[in-house]
Amino acid sequence: MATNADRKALSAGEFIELMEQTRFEFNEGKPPFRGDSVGGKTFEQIAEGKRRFHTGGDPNHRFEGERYLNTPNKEIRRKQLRKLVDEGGQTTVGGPMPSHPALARWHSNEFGVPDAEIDLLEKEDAFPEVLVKEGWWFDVNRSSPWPVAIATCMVGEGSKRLPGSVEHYTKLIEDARVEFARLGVKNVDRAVQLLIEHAPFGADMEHAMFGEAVVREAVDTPELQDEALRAFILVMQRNSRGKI
Amino acid sequence: MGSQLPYSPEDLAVAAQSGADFITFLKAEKQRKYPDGPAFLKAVADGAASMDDIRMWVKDLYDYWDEGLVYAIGAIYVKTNDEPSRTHMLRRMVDVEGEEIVNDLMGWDTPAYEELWLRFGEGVGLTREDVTGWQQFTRTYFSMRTLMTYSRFWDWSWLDGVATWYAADLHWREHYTKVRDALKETYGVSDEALEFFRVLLEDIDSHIGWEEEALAYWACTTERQLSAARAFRERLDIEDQLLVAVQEARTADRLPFQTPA
Repeated sequence: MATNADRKALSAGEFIELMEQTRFEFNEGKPPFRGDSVGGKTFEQIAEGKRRFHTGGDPNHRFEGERYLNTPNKEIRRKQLRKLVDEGGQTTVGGPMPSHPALARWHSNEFGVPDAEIDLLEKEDAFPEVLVKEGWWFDVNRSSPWPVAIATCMVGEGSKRLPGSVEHYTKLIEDARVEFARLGVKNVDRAVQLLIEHAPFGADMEHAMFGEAVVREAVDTPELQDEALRAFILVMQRNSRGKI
Repeated sequence: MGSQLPYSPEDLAVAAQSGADFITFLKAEKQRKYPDGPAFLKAVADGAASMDDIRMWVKDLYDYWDEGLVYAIGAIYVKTNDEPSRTHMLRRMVDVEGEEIVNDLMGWDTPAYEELWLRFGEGVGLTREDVTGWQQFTRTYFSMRTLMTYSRFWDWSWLDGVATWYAADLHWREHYTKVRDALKETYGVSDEALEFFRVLLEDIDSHIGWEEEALAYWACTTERQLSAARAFRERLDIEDQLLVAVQEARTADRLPFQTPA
């Protein structure tokens, strides 16, 4: 009978395949790409969604920062910092792209939610469900072994590597442009910029490849693979609206 | 917050200072606590330290630039929910980890502080292995770990963290300017080997302004000012403690304790 001590890690390729098979089964065969769907929503419904999004503040720097702090490997840590610059704002160093929180504000501004209102919303209590989802999300990135923490990006960003991703996001953004214009959005370019950043032709594709590289190189023991797969499933559960 | 009693209602009933007065107060606190700065840096600035003393300092502080400062800065960043401040903090993380991180975006090639420090070591006759293989003095190690853990956990809030950066910047600007000049003029260290000091001092100039603005704006209550001022003083203490052991090593008969291998 095999004991834990006898267990061997899956090869990197086998483990990636296991993650993707797990994702496929979790999604019951449906594509894993984010919806960000605006079809059929009114201007005010989108604005309300944006208000909910801003309530309690933006968590991006917290979970990405936890991954950075968690990583003693200097090379990986610096790649994570490069990612922080993309998401915390290339403008930080004089580059062109604002931070993801700033781009989220652009979207909201175009739907009639001004910065002054967003400031107030960001000071509000988070919704209870968001509190515990984000609380766990910070913890898994803070407390897990660093390869596991970074591997959690395989759920969201990692899905951008999959076949059909480019086509999905290309259509998503094209549809959003048409729909936003129909709804009377004045500056459609500003309204869709965050969608573009999250598409596999924005910064997210590089981030997805970084995540896969970490999985291949550093999630290399049975224990790390167990923990990474458990975290992977929990992130998918966390991202499933209305199901947890 | 270290182990001190909490501020009482009476303590907090005192009106907060204006932002400008609070900045002036912090500068006065630095002058009050450390009018001359660390004795070791003064010895270097005065030309009283030997080259062996300087080499020991390079070896003993490497972990601070390589790990302690990097971690402490990132730890404050993670706590900071004010985006304008956080943006400056992210810029500082790039400074410390090396502007070459954004070479693809900006074409910059300045390496990390720890690499510049290693080059400084080479400029004073050390090998990289001499530096990276050194067992840090325990007092220095304790100081570095205190900075890391206070930055990371509840001991310092994000705004306290800004106060600690301001303290370090004031400290470095004053003392490292003198040290750099002495290394060049008195000890004959080449400009190339002193790039660390040029980069650090230029970075300080780019950050000290926003730190003052953030402290003047956000430290707007008595409690925040009391807390930030304490953190400011604690960072000055840490920066001083980081250099106590190297000073002791150059003036005492035997070396202070070093961390176990």
